[in-house]
Amino acid sequence: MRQLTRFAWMLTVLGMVVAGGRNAPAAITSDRPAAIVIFPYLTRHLSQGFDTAIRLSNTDRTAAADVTCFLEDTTPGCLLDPAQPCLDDADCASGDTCKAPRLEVAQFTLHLSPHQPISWPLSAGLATLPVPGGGGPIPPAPVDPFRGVLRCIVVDANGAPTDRNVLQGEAVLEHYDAAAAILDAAAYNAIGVAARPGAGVDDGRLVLGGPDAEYEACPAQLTLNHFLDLGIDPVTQASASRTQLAIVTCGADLSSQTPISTGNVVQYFVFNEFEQRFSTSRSFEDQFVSVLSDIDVPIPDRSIFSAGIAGTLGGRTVITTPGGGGIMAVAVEGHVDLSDSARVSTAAFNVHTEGEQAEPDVMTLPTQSVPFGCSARPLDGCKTAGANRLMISERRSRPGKRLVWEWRKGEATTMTDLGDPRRDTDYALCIYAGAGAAVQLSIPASNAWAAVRRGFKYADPASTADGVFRIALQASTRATAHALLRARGDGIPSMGLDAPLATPVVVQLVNSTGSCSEGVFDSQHVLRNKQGVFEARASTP
Amino acid sequence: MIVAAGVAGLLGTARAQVGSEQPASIVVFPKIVVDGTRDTIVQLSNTANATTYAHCWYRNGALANPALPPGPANPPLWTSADFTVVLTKQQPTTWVVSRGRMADVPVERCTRDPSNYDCYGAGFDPGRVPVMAEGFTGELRCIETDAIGAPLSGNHLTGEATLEDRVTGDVAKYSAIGFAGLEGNDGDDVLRLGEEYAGCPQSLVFDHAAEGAAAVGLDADSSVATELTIIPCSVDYTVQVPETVIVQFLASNEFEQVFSASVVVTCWRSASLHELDTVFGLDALGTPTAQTLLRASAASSSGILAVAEEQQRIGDLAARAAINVHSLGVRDAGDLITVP
Repeated sequence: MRQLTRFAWMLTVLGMVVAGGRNAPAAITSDRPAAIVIFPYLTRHLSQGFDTAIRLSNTDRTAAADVTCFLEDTTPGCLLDPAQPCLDDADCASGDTCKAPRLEVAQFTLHLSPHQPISWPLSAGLATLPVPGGGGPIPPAPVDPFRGVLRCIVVDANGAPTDRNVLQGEAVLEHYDAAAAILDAAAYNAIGVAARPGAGVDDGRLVLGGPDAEYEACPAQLTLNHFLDLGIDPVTQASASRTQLAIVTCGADLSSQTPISTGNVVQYFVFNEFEQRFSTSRSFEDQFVSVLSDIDVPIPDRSIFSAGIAGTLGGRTVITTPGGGGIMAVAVEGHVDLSDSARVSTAAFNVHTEGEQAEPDVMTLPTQSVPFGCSARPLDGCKTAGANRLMISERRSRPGKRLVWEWRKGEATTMTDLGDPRRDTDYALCIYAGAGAAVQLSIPASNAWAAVRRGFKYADPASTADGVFRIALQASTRATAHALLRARGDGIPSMGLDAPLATPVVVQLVNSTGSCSEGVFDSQHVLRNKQGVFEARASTP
Repeated sequence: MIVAAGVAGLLGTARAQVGSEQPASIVVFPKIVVDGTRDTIVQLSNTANATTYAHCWYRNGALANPALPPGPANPPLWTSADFTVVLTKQQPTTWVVSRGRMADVPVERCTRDPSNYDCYGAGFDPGRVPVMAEGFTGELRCIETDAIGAPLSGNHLTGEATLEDRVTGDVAKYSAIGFAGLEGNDGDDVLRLGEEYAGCPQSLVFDHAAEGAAAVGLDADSSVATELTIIPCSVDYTVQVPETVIVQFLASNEFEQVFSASVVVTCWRSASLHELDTVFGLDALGTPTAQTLLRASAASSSGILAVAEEQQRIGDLAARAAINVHSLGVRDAGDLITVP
């Protein structure tokens, strides 16, 4: 084993990856890392032994990647009992059918360190990420059976989407039934939507294609090379083809959890090996999953997707949305054992794409896509001050735990920056020691705040908000802004002062308007740093 | 202005990357297997509304002595078989590598009679596809040409390969890797990747299970092994001299730790990650999932392409799933495909 510390060609690779990053991909594809990755088809049905393993990784070898993911639950419900999830009629009570549409979205965040991969089973999620501060937890599929879509978006430390094309993913569809001695696996790559470098993608409205594109456009059409359903497998002569297609809309309203319609219908043109063309169409919302020969008729051997109608084993299907609205898809090719239809060997694959949608597709994120609080690492671009002071005492002896942070001669700060903490502006003090995770003191908006001249003050004798009992905020049009925060008692989150703190210690006061004030204490600023006490002062002439 | 146009042209060339999803002028199937237990179905389609021609080459990467490890004393056979395919507008075609496809032999089409769902070979005759004998383990490349056989930047080909176990019927599928043809293709017998066609990737990256780790979502007594098939981008069909590439690996575990390895690939190599190097094992990586970056060494004269195949096992049961690896960046021009 040769674990690397300074591997000789690492620098070459880093340079190469950076260079590669400039060669931005020009189309939505599963072949390259991207800023958005979409898994169009995830499924689990534990009683039948179906589950999906998901892999996600950051390909950036120098920087971490913050990621916000949305797990869309598109599992249908039974018509008479919509709360009962189902994948087919057998999952519903006798006489009931599996049809009622559902859509629920669960959101989670991740912090992937450089070139870090993670994996998790859809059925269990991931309660604890491998690296502390890695975000999560990743929720399991909320219902069983389950069918859904996963969309993951690269964001900055504030949760705003960014143009870094560093994410890749894979899904492995698994089927294991010990009693029936069945093991099957099928894998596909997540579809990547590359951000256009430099595009302003920092809001919650992600524009794919079109004149104001922030991300690459969705394809104008999809093409699927497939075996026509019911055709006999030419290798074993013992199974018949049955291909399942999973389509999702490129656009998604993840803020209102409203299914996106393609606006019109999805049209299918099936070509056989005789240059003959067949066609059908069907509308859908958000996600559509169907065996090909179920798309057009209820009797598979009458379908244009069947070998009996098309006449050949091989087929090619062109999929378009004539009314607009981009779509993407994956296919799962099944080989159904002719002697036991429960035995299906499957292989998943990404479909081909051609052209670009003329009109944009939009993914709308929730307004507050990331819960307010400290980011996993210090924010960039915070306001600084001419003088800073930090004192933390975790001694139990009197006067007990205390924390004081003062920020003086601060950069110009407006009342808009301060927001209105009496009504709706939340505050948090974030303390980072070395490369460690943030320790957060949360001060939500409340009536403990009061307006004062050019600012606000906070007074809570009970120290209910993480020990904080006093805050003074002073705006200024010159470099004389001021902030002071005091906390006391056991309610203060522990900084882990059992040992000296790692430096630099970075303190950031952030609020939910996006404002941030920062003090940085390097080793030369430290006055005391020992068990139970940390004190530092930093000032600039 | 001329300079600007030239720069723009260069940039345009530099941006063109290989891919598996968009129609291309060269499609590469890195892993074709016809051995005692597995066979391969090839699908090739014409996306144009006009007839498309392609010339295809099989290359056998099986070792001269399969019982021995690869090395200078045990080189790959590197024998080739070539054929021409003609596809009418939008036509898909399919063949089993061990069966080939006969020319000018009419095959009855499938009908709705279930006894006639086996219509292998039905469809417009794309030309004779040779039979690959047992023991073929190698690659297939198809190059779009004009009617007289000159390479062409038409970008009308897509393809898939399905690897199938003859006994269990287990299947794994990947998409052919496509090199888009660019403007300025002179149609001669030296195909310049990065100039006339999309460039070979600078590196490849894929996520995989650590060798021997339990499959995510399956029982703890399951295990996963990943087989990686690597081929050089460059190939010279006019001589029987295989291209040799030194491939370097950087494997990252879930704790941001990095491990390295390197192997020599002569024309075609398919091996489990554990066979390539022990750093890919669960004991070495320490986490169940890894991300591996691979690339040809700076001293190598060719870039590389690859596909991965993951095999899950529980007791006597086994299942495979193939996947296309991701690509990063584009190599500078210099990779060549030379045709007779």
